[in-house]
Amino acid sequence: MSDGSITLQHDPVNLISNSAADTRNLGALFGRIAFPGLIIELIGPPGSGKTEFTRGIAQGLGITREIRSPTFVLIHEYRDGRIPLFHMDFYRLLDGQPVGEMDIFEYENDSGLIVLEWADGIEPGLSANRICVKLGFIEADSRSISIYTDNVIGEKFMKSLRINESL
Amino acid sequence: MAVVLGIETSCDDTSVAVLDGTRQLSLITQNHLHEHVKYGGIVPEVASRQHMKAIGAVYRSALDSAQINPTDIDLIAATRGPGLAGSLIVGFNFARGLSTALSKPLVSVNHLEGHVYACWIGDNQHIPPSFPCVCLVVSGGHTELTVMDDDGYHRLLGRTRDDAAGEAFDKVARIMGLGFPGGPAIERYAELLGDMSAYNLPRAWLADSMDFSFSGLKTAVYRARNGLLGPTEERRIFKDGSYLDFQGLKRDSIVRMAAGFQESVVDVLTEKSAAAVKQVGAVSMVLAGGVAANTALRKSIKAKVGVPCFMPKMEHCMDNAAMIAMAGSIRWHSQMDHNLLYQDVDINPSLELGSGY
Repeated sequence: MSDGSITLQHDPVNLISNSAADTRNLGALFGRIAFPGLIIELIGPPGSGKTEFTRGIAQGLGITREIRSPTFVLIHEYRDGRIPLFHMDFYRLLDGQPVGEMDIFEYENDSGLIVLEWADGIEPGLSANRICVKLGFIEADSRSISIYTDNVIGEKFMKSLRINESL
Repeated sequence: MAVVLGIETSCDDTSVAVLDGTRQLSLITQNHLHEHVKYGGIVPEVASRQHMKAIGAVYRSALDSAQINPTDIDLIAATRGPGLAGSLIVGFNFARGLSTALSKPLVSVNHLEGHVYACWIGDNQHIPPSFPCVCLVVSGGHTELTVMDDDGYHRLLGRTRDDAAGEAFDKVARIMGLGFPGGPAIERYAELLGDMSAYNLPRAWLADSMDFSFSGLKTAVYRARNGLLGPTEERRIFKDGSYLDFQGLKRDSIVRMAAGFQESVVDVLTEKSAAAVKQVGAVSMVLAGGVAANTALRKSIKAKVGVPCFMPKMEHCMDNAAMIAMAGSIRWHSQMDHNLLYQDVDINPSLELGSGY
């Protein structure tokens, strides 16, 4: 991990979503099995479905408040679900530049689920509990979704994901 | 008139202002966004620390510039939410401490209500909006359409379902490489349109709803830039077939895209505001928040809503403490919250417009 790249401990799970509803449903599965302390990192260009995926997560957690973009205030907190959801977005901070060491995970790190957008520049190892979800365009409505992790906590989540979805 | 101190730390800016009645004596604002990047560390700790480091000096220079002493302050108003928790705490606790030390009352303010009350700031001849008044608060973080029936009473009519309008400006500007902040950059390019035609971008009307959606618009520009549009979409947006010009970001096509994007946002905001005014029988309209600084939007709303339209001065469109002082003053003097002890209230990062103090 010293070279700054993610070392895969297991194969990634690759899926295709054919609609926004597909993406949301996958997010809902994440929300149902997520546990406090987990960090879900969403990677993908504008319109690839990051917010839609987060809406699904919220739904899976039983959150009823509407999910809106946290770009401006950096963090939106939702505390009306099974566990708290901290929806973070570093779009404005990174300004397209890769960032080295970051210390974000002081943030209530064990009490809830963190969903992180636009954090592509963060070095691995610093967000030790993360699972990455990479979204990409295929066609107008379809998206490629790749799920991978580089740590034990993430792998625990992946295992539970495979069982629940028979992936 | 009463001297009111306003304190605003909901997001990137540490801002302190002094009002005498409705008249502004001083407004000092310090922005920290770029500190975050330099620092390398990040939210929310760094944000709170930046506010901590700045607030004492910003407070002192606001008093100096107003030429008053701390003992001249009659009321202290501070933002309670919405915003970033760690940032809100710094400003609100500073206000709480000051209130205790000076034995002067504290009032907590909803940041979004502050944006609306920015239109109440002015000299003694200044006439504020009459009720019922439709309010459109558009900024980097918010897009809310409400009707205000009386001081402090908002009914939510519509809001964004995804991205805020100001956020769409920033993101589209970045996609086209126009830099930050995106609002002024897009506006500058759009003004160069001249005899050219603007690209025909989609408008999310969301039929039978007063809600907004700007995410699809941003995605359309992103996909156009990266050659990801389907043929039908391509023909609809680029009627003259200049799709490749835009992918190459040729100057004229940036101008046409900036103009097309701005028209789309302005059209939707204007139409919905006009419909809201009609629907609730409003007698005035307030346009506030950072995006209210956009000249095309100001012109369009003014021309089409059919009632007197109020907009804050440019310095009061962005996040600022003068609007917090104004809103706090009105809230305090109208005794809207009866005998609520503001010293004991907590900050609320997800406070909504219309949910009171």
